[in-house]
Amino acid sequence: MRHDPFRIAASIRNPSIKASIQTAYGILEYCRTSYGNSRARKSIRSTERFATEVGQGTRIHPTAYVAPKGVRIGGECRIGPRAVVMGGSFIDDHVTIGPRSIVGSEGYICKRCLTKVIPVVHVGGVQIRKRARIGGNCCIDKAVDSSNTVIGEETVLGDFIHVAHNARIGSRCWIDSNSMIAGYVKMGDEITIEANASISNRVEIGEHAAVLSGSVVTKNVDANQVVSGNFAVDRRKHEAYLAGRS
Amino acid sequence: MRLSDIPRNLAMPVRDCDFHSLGFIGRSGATKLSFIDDPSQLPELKNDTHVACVIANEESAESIDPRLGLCISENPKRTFVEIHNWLARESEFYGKSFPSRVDRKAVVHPTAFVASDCVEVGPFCEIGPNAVILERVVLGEGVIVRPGSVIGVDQTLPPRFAAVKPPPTASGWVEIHRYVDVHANCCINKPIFGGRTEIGEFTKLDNLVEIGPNARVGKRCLLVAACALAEDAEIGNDVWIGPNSTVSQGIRVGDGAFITIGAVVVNDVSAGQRVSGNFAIDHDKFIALMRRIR
Repeated sequence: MRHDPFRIAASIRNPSIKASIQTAYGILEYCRTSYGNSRARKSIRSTERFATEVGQGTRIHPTAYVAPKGVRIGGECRIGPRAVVMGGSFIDDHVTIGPRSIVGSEGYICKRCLTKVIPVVHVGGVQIRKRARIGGNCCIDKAVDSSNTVIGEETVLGDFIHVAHNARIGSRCWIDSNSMIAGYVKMGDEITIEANASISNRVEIGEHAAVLSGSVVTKNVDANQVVSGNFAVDRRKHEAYLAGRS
Repeated sequence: MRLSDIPRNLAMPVRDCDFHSLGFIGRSGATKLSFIDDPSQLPELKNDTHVACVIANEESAESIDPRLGLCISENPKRTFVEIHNWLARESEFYGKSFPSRVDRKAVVHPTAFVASDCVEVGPFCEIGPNAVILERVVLGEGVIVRPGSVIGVDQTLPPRFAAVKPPPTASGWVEIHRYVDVHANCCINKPIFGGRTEIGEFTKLDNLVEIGPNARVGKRCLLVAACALAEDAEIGNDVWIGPNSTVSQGIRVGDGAFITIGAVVVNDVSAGQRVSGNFAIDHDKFIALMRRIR
């Protein structure tokens, strides 16, 4: 948010200087985003050129949609009814994708330029490693740069989970329903995230940590730590605070 | 529409009156027709200045303001729904019905579903795989609906309407202005008793966003993943609504406000204000509180 032209301009008192700075930033942002987007579109065309490959023994439900280009699905996978797998998705063996889940849809970065808002075109992909299981109605966005959003081996996702662009989830994690993992989050192995938790962007969570239900994590979580609350703090501190208040 | 224009077998007007919308007491809608089930709602009726006519039973009819239009019925709720259904079916009170129009320059994926009536899809729209556009939805120029999103779901009514047969037909609209992005698996509700859910131009919705019936979102707002706007919420321009946050029913959020991650907003937010927490308070106050705990 530091570079948000609206916030910088808001701190300036003189209205005419404020307006001109806003306009200048707007034009700069507009040019930069449009140039980046046009380059991104070209690079998508080159990376998603290959025809979709589906491994042996994979069952894709007839109502599911798998993009005809740029998808690689391993063997023995299950893709549920009405699920959508978009271009740039790489799915390993034995993965289950639940009904109505969307894998590899566009991520969410928006630039405010003058009176418009321009979305940034994403060029990366999604990688789902072996034996991961994804529940119903989940959304996994593709990465903004040439890397991938990663779901680790044997990780289990519940329902209605949003995994944003460039997030990296480790192996054997368990994420319960309605949770929200924002952009660039880095998660170690064997982490538990309970229902309706939110993880803010660029947060790092160490291995074996646990995030209790409804928590809003805005700061890094150490390995083996248990956090809870909105905003999340160490569980003991949260409980002590609640005990002191009643 | 006048109360006397409604067929006599549905409603017997005691005092005739004009109305422009239908709605519950204490909720949105100007010059509306409303109803009371129970005498305990009388004080609420007095406070709601937008009510023009009321359907009531004989018991509570005596204590209703004589300036308001009145209609007496044994079962006011049922009469209300019957009038609504008649208006939806027989009149153009809720807008004309038309066969769906999809612009030639719009791209609709073959697996997407677009209802056959009352849908307008503007030029340069993109509708992704398995997306669903139901009746009474207007999409402006360049709207993008990504996979799995559902636009125009019927509003869910409170349980007191469960027993009403036949159920009210949904007759509100969803209006999405130009260059709005709706990402994957979003749900946008349409109101049942008229009115419209509106999303202003250049607003971008992330995945799993839920927008309630009659909600109004301004221009250039950013609604990040999994946030939910309840019924009648009114959001200004240039607002940022953080991931997994909730805006409660009927809340007004001013221009340029900032609602942080996981906030539960139950009070109005003024322009440019930043709020956090459950329930949401001013961000600076909240951080001061957090320092004490941390």
